[in-house]
Amino acid sequence: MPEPKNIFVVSSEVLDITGYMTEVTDPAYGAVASFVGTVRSPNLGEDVLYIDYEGYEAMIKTQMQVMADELRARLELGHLVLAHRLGRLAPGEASIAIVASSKHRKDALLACQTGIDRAKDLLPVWKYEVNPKSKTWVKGNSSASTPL
Amino acid sequence: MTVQVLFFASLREAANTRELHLSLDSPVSARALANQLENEHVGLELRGALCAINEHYVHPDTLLSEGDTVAFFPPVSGG
Repeated sequence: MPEPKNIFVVSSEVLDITGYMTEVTDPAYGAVASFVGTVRSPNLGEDVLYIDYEGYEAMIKTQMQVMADELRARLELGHLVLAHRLGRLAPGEASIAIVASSKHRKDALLACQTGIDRAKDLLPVWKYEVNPKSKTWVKGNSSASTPL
Repeated sequence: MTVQVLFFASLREAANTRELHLSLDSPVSARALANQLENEHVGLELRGALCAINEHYVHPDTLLSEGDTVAFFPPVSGG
């Protein structure tokens, strides 16, 4: 059985979803599942021109390790890729990807569902959304910790 | 003791800086440091912000240690 590996990506480059699928694919694991989040437009009734993603890069990777440890404690996973893009993204571009393999389908599928929920709780990333009428920081989620 | 302070997103804008290096006379909590920073930076409002020390989320009452990196940031909106 191959040693399960974690791959964490934080980058301003286009996310290489096909490459991540290749990374997690392994004969020992019969299932590969992926979740990809993309920039949505319109949002709240307004066309989105772009979103600037700001992140605390070192902490994103630390929290990706927390996420991976949580997922592996609950699920029997093979390889796992957690990737988040930063910088300016246009509508339709991928901002986040979770790609997992497992022996059987259920664990890989659950890793994607649970993983995106935890990513939205834990990863220190902020969206600055620009549309023709306004520029705003997107309201965030503070469930990771007790706020000041 | 010395600590590094980081701000992100709207708090970076309000503080007009991303990073500070501070000398503190005695051990203080993240909350006490936040109060001090609000007094020193007009327009910086940290109520509702999250705190992290050395890349891990902490309760605001956590005490800082020598050399810590403490980050203050708004609720997160990644994904």
